[in-house]
Amino acid sequence: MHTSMNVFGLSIRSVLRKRAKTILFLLIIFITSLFIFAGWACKSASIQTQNESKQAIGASFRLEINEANRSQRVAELSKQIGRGTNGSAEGYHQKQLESGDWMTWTDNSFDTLLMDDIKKIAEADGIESYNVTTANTVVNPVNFERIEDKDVDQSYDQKGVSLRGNLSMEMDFDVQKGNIEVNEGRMITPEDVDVCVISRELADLNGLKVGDVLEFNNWKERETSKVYQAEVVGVYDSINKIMPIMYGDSYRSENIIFTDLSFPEKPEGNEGSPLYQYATFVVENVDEYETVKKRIQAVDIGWERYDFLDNTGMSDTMTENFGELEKMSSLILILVCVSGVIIICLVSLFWLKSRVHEIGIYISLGRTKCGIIMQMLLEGILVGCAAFLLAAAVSPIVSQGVVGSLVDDQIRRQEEQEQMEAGMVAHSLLEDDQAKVVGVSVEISGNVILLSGISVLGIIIIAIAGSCIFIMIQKPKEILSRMS
Amino acid sequence: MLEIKDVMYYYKSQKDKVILNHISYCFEPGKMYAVLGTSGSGKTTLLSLLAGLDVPVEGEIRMDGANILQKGLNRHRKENISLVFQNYNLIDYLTPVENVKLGGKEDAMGLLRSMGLDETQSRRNVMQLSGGQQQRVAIARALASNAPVLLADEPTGNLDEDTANEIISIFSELAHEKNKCVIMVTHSKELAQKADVVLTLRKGTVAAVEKIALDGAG
Repeated sequence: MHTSMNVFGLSIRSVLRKRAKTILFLLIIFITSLFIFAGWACKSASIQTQNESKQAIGASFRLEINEANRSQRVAELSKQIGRGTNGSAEGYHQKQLESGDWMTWTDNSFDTLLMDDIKKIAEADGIESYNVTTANTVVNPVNFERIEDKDVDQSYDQKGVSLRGNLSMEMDFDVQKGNIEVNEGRMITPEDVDVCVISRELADLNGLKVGDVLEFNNWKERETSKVYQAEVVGVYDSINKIMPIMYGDSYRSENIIFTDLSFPEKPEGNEGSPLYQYATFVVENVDEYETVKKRIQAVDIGWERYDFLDNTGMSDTMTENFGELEKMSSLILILVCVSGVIIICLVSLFWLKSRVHEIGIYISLGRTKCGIIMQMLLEGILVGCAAFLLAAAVSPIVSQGVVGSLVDDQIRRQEEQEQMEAGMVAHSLLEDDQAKVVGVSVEISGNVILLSGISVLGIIIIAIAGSCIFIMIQKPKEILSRMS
Repeated sequence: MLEIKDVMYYYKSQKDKVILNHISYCFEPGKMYAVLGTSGSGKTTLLSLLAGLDVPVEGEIRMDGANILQKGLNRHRKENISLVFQNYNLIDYLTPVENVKLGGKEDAMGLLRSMGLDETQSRRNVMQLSGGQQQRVAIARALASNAPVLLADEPTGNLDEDTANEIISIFSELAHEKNKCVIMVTHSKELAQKADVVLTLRKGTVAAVEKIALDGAG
């Protein structure tokens, strides 16, 4: 059986035998494809960064004591007790010393976050989990040695270790920030009672291991105060030193011991009167952050007592900056697509004009214009496939470069913005480290390849079909007269 | 068979300049026609209309009694018409075999062999052949479709005398042995004399129809 030449056969022969044309066309589509890849990779990378930022920074709220309100309460209670009168009220105490000076102080009940209030907030719709952290409480180590700097005068130090209680240790901000990792034993859970997790340094110094029992008592009454025991359930390694809240070895990173929530108050001599310093609430769905925030603010508690940190300033800044990155990648895609269509259309038009002779022959042989345009499209798609595969092979490097430079630019802008806002936006302990973006990883995923492929295919089809308009609008006789 | 009926043609931009002025004629199978005329006499326009590359302003072109517009011009060109041009019009990136296959499903190699091209010549790039060989390829391609009408526009214009005579002989054979209707546009009176019928166009009209005895045409 004899067969005539079909469209595919003609297209493949044209592509393979008109090499100069094919190579030039291949180069143009190759470069266009590279930018398309970069655009989609950038779009994908920026979205990923934005989500991570939200999860790390914005998807939680924190409750603290409001310092202004604290001062106001002190003033009100002092007035209530009366000037020149010894007395106590609601955790506030004032007493005249023998020297005639007045001493005022507050106990844990005055300074603590109220557990009832914390629980009310935690019950709000959209809150996934919550954690409560006690203030760092210095206690005396009874049956073990603490880490000390021998070159430092310890006479002004309490000569103790710091206890930090958590409802759920995995939600402690130093764990969340990655400053510490529990590589031996386990973390403390809400169900635990009288347990602790100690530093690797402390364990090594005292030969401690999981299962050992540590003893603590009040550092002010080392000899007489009641001794409390906590079982070691884990040993943590410091990735980054925990920032001490005060000067002295009692607060140094290695001497910080994590405990269950109710333990620190016991050796301090305040059993039953905890000092909760922070409460953290994790939002279940990042996208409902603002809605959850409004729900929490509607909870009926004495809000004047608290600072409610929602990280809004920082998360908005991050979203804005990386939203800009997404906009830029969209702009790149639009520019590349439009310029790709124009360039390929012009090149294709130039070639079609040089192929009038060939087109005239096809018409004289009875081929339809649609059939001829189909051949031109098929030729473009064949070259496009080869160019796209080549571009796909080198796109990870190019995309990383393009996205990297865009991200650098965004980070620079972010830093400039932060400098401008210095002192104007409230920052929490969580913000500083996690807000920094040191780079971005670009992955040419299947989705990126698919989107890039569709884009390149679309560009080729639109450009070549556009350039073929001149075939459609001319009469066969006009084409044949031009070919002669 | 192929009939032009009261056909008038002028360019829409130059309505006062009539190219073909109400001409009628019926071309029959088994004959070779030569269309003679000076430049601008309407020879090529007539060929374009017969080939379905253009449509008359007035009148109609009929194939086997039906207006060619009814079936569509593309179909008319594909099924009824084979075209041979002065400059051969071969696709430059294809071999002779592939060029012939463009014409239709007939045995391309066999057709080329019948035109005097051997296997080697048929497999090399078409641009590497001589003018005469290229024209033979063009004729083979025209025959591949097995269309009943072969239209040739100055088919020997670029060929030397001997080769031109060979090509005309092939046309004659096609008309008389394969019962094709061969219509050849030429300005050479000498070549025209080898046709069965010579139509002379002048100022858009058929000025003369000269019938030549078949014995002398062979």
